[in-house]
Amino acid sequence: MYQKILIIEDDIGIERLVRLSLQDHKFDVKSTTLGLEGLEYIKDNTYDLILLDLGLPDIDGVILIDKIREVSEIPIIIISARFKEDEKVEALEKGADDFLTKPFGVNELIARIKVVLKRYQTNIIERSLFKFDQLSVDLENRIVTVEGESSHLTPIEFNILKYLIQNHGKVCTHKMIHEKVWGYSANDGYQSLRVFIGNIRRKIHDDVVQPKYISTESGVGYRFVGEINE
Amino acid sequence: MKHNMYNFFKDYSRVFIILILSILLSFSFEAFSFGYENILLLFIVAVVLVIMETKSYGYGILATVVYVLFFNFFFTEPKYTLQIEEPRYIMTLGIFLVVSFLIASLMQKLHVQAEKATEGERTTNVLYQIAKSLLSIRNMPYINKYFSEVIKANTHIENFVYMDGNIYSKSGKEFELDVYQEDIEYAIKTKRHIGLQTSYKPKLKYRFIGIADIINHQCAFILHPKREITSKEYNFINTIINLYKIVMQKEVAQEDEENSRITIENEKFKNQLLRSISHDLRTPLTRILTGTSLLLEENTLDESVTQNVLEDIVDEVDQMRILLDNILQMTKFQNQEVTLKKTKESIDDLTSQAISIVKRRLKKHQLHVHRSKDVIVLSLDQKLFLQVIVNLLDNAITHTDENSIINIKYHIENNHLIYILSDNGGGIKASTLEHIFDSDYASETSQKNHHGFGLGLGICKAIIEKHGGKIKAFNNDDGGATFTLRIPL
Repeated sequence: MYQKILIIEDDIGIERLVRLSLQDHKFDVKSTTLGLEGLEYIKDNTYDLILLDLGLPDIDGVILIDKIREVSEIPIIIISARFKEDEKVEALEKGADDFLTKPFGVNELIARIKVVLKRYQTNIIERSLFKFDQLSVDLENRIVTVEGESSHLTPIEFNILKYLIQNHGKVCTHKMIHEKVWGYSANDGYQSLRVFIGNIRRKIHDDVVQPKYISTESGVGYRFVGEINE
Repeated sequence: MKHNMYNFFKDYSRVFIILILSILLSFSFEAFSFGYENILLLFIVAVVLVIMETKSYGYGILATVVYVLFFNFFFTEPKYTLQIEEPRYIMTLGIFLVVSFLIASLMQKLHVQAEKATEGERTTNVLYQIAKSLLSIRNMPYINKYFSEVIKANTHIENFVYMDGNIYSKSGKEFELDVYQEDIEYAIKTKRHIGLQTSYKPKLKYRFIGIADIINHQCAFILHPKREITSKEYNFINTIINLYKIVMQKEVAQEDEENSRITIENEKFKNQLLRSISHDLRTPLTRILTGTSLLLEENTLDESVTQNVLEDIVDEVDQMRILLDNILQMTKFQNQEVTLKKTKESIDDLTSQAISIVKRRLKKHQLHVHRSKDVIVLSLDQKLFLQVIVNLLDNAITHTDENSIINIKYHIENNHLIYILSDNGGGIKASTLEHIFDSDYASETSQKNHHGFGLGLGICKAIIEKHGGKIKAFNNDDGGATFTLRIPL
């Protein structure tokens, strides 16, 4: 059974390219150029994933995410123009799972889709023991081990790491992390969050050139990218 | 009003004292039989004194009349009546009257002249001060504020200067622009005084003076006097407004000159930029075209060759993307449209983002990052700073040989972020090093050089300087080039 993907994109060129390459990768693809039409499709059919362009002619993409979330928990990857960080952040906070910034490569698109689909298939929330490369984290007993040695994380550092791991593969905006960990919105421009992330990276020996665990999403937030060792 | 009453009583009492003293003296003159002509001379002196003391013609006339009546009553026969027997006394009193009047009117004229001279001197002084100050102020808002201040300082009249929809005032008092916009526009259109103490809408709180003859600018003075404007003040304000017109015309002319200079420079820059861009874009485009033609026409290519060609094409597209970003940013800097949108940013984050942007082109180089011991977070424009690191990395990748080592290192030193990017890939020629951040130079040399240096580096410099920092380039001991950024925390 092929997995079903719905593309909501008004740029015919991009729609065609994306549709062809997805079909090439054995996905069952349906596409529309109108947001409200897309919403009808979602109500009437089951899809495994939605690719949604935020700049649609008939409805604001962010509002459309709200409407989709009213009827379905289906994963959404948004496609957004460059220099529109605010839009991306808003969409992610409304419940989108990931984003792609135009122009994007086909490989990147396929990789993102696979990560999101995998995330929805494995139930991460129920796990408490994680191993990634040289890092292992025991969420229940709050133990972090790096390269065989235990590493001490402060309670806030641990809570940030925990939140990122539990949302493994998903982009977490600065606001989402801050509200989850501190319980309220930041009023320091996320300065302390950035410092905590920097400290966590130093403690878990994450690389700047090629991040193994926490990647930075420009102007949006962070994403845990460590590959889970089964 | 109180002030006037006080003056009146002061003048009145002085006149009274002079009269009493002179009259007492005249009695003693009579007692010693000094002769009546001396009494009259004494009275003339007293009249002069009265005018001098009160600075008023009226009091002089009043004193004269008092003396005539008094002399008539006490000293002419029959005494203690207002009748005169001897005709020579009529003559004497008549001459006394005429002389007193003449002296009084002469003194009055002298007084007015003196007043005018003082007033003129004061105005000249103010004008001189204005001219002197204006040597050091340029820029219209300051000039407007300055004139508002001059009027306030010299007349104590609350006032505002209106220009092109803005209100300028030194006092910082509120002016209800939305209420009076129409009146201001009417005053400017008709180039006259309207509002308070004028024939048009005299009930308004303010007087609006429309100012003509300032090219492309709508100006008006707005006065908010607490009392009636005197003619002296009125003359002063008119003089100041005339000066204002002259200053503004000069300012407008200078601005035009400045604008045309900028236009010419922009034109020059655009031409150079176009030359440089068309070259820098044509190079990757040619490679893309060659690569795609090869793929289209040759069906027998090895899979690995095909892969290589495709990777090269993606590479060239990446480079074009960076170039286009730079062009966009450079034109913004040229048009002075760049404002920093500062947010708190972590240098770790920015570095790893920059690396991820150029990652595809990094395959043939070794990149090492030595991050600071403690996390560095500072306020800067995330996009622009990212562009700086991307440009420096791109520059290092483009200008060094394969397998060169690129090092990034950052730390805090004396309240500054020090960001160092160095390589060991050959270094920069001394003649190029001199002009390496000069965009214009880059566009001239890019014809000769294979790769244009400076557009990207020129933008780096502009961005770093906009952040109050410094950028430097030099050849290092490892046989490569080093770029250092120094940005205040």
